[in-house]
Amino acid sequence: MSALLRFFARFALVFEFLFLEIIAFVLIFHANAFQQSVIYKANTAFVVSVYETTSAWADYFYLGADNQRLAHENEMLVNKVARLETKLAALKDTSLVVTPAYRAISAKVVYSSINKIQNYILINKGKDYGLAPDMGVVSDEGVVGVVESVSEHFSVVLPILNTKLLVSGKLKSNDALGSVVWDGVSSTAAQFTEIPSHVEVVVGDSVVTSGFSAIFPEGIFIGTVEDVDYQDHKTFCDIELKLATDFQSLHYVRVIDVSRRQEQQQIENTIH
Amino acid sequence: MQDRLRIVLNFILLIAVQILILNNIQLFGLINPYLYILFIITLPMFVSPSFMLLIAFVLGGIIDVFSHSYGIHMAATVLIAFIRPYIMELFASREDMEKSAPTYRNFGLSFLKYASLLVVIHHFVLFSLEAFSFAHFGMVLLKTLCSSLVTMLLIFGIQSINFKRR
Repeated sequence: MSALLRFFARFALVFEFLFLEIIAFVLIFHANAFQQSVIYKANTAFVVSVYETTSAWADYFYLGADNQRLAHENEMLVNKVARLETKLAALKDTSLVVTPAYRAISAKVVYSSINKIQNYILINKGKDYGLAPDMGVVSDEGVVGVVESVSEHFSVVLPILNTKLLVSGKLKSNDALGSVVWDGVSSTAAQFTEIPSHVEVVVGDSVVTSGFSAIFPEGIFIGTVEDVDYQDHKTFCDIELKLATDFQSLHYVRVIDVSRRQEQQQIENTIH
Repeated sequence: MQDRLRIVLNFILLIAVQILILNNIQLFGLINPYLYILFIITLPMFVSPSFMLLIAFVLGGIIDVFSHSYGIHMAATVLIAFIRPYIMELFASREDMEKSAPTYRNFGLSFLKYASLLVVIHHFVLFSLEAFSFAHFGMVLLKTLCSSLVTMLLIFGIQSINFKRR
């Protein structure tokens, strides 16, 4: 009798184990559906509050570096304003109503990972600041990624360091178009693909956004060519990029809202 | 009673260390120590296997929530909680198994073997689920190797401090 009971007790444990594992795997397979759920939104708010508190402490450690960067950027902006003001004064007579091509919203990084194969960044602005999926995200140094989903006060950003993301770019010197993708290895390097082998690629050349996708304006720095590999039998060459953005010390980003994005995407959809 | 209180404190402390400190450690994209499983590794013997699975489920779930991963820590942690008794049988002697908890102090050298194997299994399952394809298999192996090494160093460090203190 006791042997029988022990037998059942043992099986109960196996069932319990399988049951818990099944729950875990359902979560893994339905990660996207789970993100939409109420329970996820509720606990995200809690998680974010924890990270916000700790990142508020951590902020103190980065004050020096951030200050320096801000001062540098300030200087640049002041110069730009001065230049533009003189231009504006000259243009004032022939006044034309021009809507700016894009607006930038600055946001703080509350969580980011760089060591996974699918990395994410969480920022502290959401619908409340007019953010929407498919908006581009940049840092002072260059492209960071694309907004994937937004909640009321937060957004999830897919950085270049995510194998799911593909950013269209071009070589600065000869305008050859390609795509920037990531192979999941180094957080400082990415690959620039779809450049035909007959195109001459120079090490040290810059890769910038193409401006075709209406996610980023044209000409935002993505990275510099570090290594080119031509192979005889291949149509495309392998290009290794050194990323402009330092993802390890990313604290502030700007979200780019291209004003005509929706209009462009709608008309693009009619093509296919 | 005091024992149980210490276990609960241990639980909270390990989670805090994991999500506030270790989750921010990202060396060369390869080193990702997951120290929190030390809780499952050293859980006292009086905890029943079935309750241990539930604890592992909750522990993995909490780490998942804070790492923005869905279910991968759960799956890996529940697995090592389930195989823990078998791994223990593999390395520990009969007298060892009578002791209150599997720690370095109680088990000695066989604790190192027992803990290392659990850590490697946990990390391998975790990184495989995270990569979610065999295309990155080499990367997964490399990450498992490097991260397990760091996790093990941390575990042995903590255990040897406990060893000296008492």
